[in-house]
Amino acid sequence: MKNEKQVTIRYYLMAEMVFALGLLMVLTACFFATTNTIQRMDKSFTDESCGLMVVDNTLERLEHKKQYKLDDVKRIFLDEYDKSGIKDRTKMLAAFTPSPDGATLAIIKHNSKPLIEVQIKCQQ
Amino acid sequence: MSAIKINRYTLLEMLAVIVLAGVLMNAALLFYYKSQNINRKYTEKAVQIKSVSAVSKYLRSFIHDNGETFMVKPDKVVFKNGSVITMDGNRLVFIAGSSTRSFALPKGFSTTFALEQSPEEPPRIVTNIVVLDSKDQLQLNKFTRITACVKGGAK
Repeated sequence: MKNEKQVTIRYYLMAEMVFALGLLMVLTACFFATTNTIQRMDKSFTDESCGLMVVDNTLERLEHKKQYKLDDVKRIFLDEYDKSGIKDRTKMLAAFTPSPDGATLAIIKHNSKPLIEVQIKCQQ
Repeated sequence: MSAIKINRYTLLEMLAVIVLAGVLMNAALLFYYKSQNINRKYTEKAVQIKSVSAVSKYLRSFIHDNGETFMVKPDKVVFKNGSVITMDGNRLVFIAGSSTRSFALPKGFSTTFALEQSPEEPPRIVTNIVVLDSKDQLQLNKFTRITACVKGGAK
């Protein structure tokens, strides 16, 4: 009696492999996209913390002046913004807007929305 | 007669499976390594933010309470009343009389002090919480600036 040999040729082997590799690539792309998003969020969060510190430091300096005028507020705010280093590291801007009874200090994010706005009453 | 079916896998199939298994294991290890790194980094970041918040409040009140400074060095501030703020390793130590309080900064962070003065303003002590690089050198472009005005010289 002859040995029976059953040879199965599976034509879908290549399709399986291509599908598996495709799936792996999609998974990899998702992973790196997530990582990238987390890193961008981290940078944004760090920048925002520094932005808040600019206003906090400005208020600390103003609090220790017996009296301050509009020019003082502007000078101190812009000085803190320059020294904080966020000018070089981020796209956030400091905005100083005089108003009839004082001024508004704002840190503007790269999407043109304010991160923080503080209104200060002072002499003109 | 016993019927035994033998599926003969070709060498090509076996190699393909080995390669695929290798690629998958490599990807799994890479994902694991990157996830661990991200996890560690954000744990440190959370500790840093907490530390900066806690340190800035205490630092300001300490500087306000102790008045004028006698000496300000990058790693030490000495007040005229004998109180001291200094760095000891990665700990920020506040010494006032017999009381000592210290804050442990997160690993990879250090602090530098400087005295700044502007016209018509009281002097201020600027504390920069700086990130250290892998060789423990200060990365001067990565810092958080905390300003605290010295009381007693208000103008």
